Amino acid sequence: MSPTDAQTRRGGSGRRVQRRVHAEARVREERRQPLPPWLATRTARRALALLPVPTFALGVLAATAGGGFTTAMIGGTTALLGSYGTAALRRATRMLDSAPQTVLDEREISDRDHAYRRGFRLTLVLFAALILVAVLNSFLTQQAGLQLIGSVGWMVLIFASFFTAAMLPAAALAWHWRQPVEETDDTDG
Amino acid sequence: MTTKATGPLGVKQLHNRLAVLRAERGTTRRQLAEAVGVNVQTVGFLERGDYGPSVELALRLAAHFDLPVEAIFSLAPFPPMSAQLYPSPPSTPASAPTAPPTTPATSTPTTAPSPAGAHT
Repeated sequence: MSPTDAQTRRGGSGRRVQRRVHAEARVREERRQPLPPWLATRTARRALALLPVPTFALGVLAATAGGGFTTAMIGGTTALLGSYGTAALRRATRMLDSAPQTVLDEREISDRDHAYRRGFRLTLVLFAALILVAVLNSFLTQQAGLQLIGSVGWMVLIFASFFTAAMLPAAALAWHWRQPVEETDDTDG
Repeated sequence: MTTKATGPLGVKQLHNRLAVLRAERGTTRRQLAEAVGVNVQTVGFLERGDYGPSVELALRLAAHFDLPVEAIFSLAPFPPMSAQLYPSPPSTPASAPTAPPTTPATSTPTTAPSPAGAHT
């Protein structure tokens, strides 16, 4: 390896480290921000945790809408709801599911691992639902000549499933979120 | 001091004296969290007994308070601090001569020394 190559490689690695440090600082800063009051209650967090359900349901609805403008409209709404849900859930759980490991302590890493485990189980449920839809579609096509979901519909449904699966770990976290300790209930040393 | 005896499904909970020790040293949760390298919320969860620390964190907390780990964490509930500072005198038989009353605060303790965490 020539000295120029080594220098270039060092430069590239340095830039990567710098980018990572910047990203971690940004995540730390975002996590330090207080939650807006509407996100701070347990009821709001639990309501948000249910967002993957309407997202997937809208996906199924869009897929069965027969294509065309209606599918596009409902599909767009699904994408909007999915994006909003992912962002809101991450905000409500202080980005615990997506923050780099270096900015989390052992309790947060443990909470995140639990959420991933629950998220994995929920993803399996999602796959089961997709299989069920596929079997039903195939059955109806063969028996009644009625195709519920066409090729465009499947694309929309996979897209909605992707959004739903992306939300699941954060949703599991939001559902089981433990009430944080009030900092006012502290000793002023 | 954590007071829960058992958690859900009969799982044993870890009891600790973090809140007492922190109050005794006059440190805030934030200061303790920074000293042992965890989130301030984690200190709160530890004090509430909602989270059991790793061995590493327990040792770091023990080192911070300069106490053995068993003085801070226990599988059995800690006795109340008042009971350790002012132990109730053993019940005397009716025929035994009555000892002159002594002031608890000034009397010399006759019981075995209490765990290190109780020296508050």
